[in-house]
Amino acid sequence: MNEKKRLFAGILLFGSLWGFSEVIIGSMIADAGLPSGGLMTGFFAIPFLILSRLIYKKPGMQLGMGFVAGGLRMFNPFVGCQICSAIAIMAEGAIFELIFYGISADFKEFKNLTMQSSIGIFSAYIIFVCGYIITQILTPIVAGVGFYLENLLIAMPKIFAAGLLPALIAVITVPLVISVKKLDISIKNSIYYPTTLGLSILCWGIVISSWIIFS
Amino acid sequence: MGKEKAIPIFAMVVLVIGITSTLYVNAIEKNNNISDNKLLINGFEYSFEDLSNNIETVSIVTDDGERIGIPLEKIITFSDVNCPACNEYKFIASDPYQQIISWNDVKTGILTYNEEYNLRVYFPNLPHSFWVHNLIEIEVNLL
Repeated sequence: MNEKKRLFAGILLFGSLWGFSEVIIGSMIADAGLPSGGLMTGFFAIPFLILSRLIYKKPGMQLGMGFVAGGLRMFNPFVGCQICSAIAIMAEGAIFELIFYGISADFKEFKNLTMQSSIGIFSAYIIFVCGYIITQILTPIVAGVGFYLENLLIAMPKIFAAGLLPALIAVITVPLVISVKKLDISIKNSIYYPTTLGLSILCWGIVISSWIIFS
Repeated sequence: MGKEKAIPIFAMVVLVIGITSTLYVNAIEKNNNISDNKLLINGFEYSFEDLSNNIETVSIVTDDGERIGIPLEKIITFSDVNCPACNEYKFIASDPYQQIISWNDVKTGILTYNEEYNLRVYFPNLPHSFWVHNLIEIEVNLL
């Protein structure tokens, strides 16, 4: 029971941090005219997903994180297309689970830099490209406009090209995250729950209040 | 083949796909010159200036703020499309990217121009993925 509670708090914390960064930092990056999707996946989504898997070693957790982060994104409609972004975030969590279901539960195998960089490139590229494709399929359906396969097929080269940026970023971020985890920082139960819940509430509070203030 | 060999190979494969696609997209974009702000509508070429000199601009409110542009409904009428409601409209970008949009949604949209996105359409009731930028053509297809 204690283990489940700890995991649930972890999902809430990492999902909230991911959602917060997508909404607040992602919108700043988009406003600056930079490719926010690729940058957010490479610098935030992949590191959060990998770090949480390294700490908790529980498959399924990252799917939950995707739903928390996507849910938070839905609470902040003023920064743009909440449907597309929320779908993309949730899809990224689900695709991470699928990729690592067959590869590794806890990354023990990825001891050298080549393997760490390779898994960074591969996972970031596949997660971003598949997330992009799923968004292109689900967004028109959710919006009630109807999905045209022709639209997706013609955009495929652009989607494959867009995956290059997060893949290159993950060459650096994934080995960095794995090296940070080696520091093995442990938190006592007495401060674990107040910290995780406090940070989660802070993330949700900032996102929701920014929506109320600016909308 | 073990994971130690397979994962670096998969990484190389996705990098090759990404680099090749980037080169392809850049080549297509260069080929579709967007610097002259020309837009092909139903087979006829118009400049943004042609359209803005003949059609009054309007302001619409989107979830990304207020946008000022030329109403697409008037552009379609201006470009002599017969029975606008009998068609669907394919908005084609230079990179290549496209969205097929119904007349009911086209009527709500506007065409804008700025340095960042060149020609771009906005539809207040549709998700941002429908806001095609670097627009080069509006293809009109009978339903």
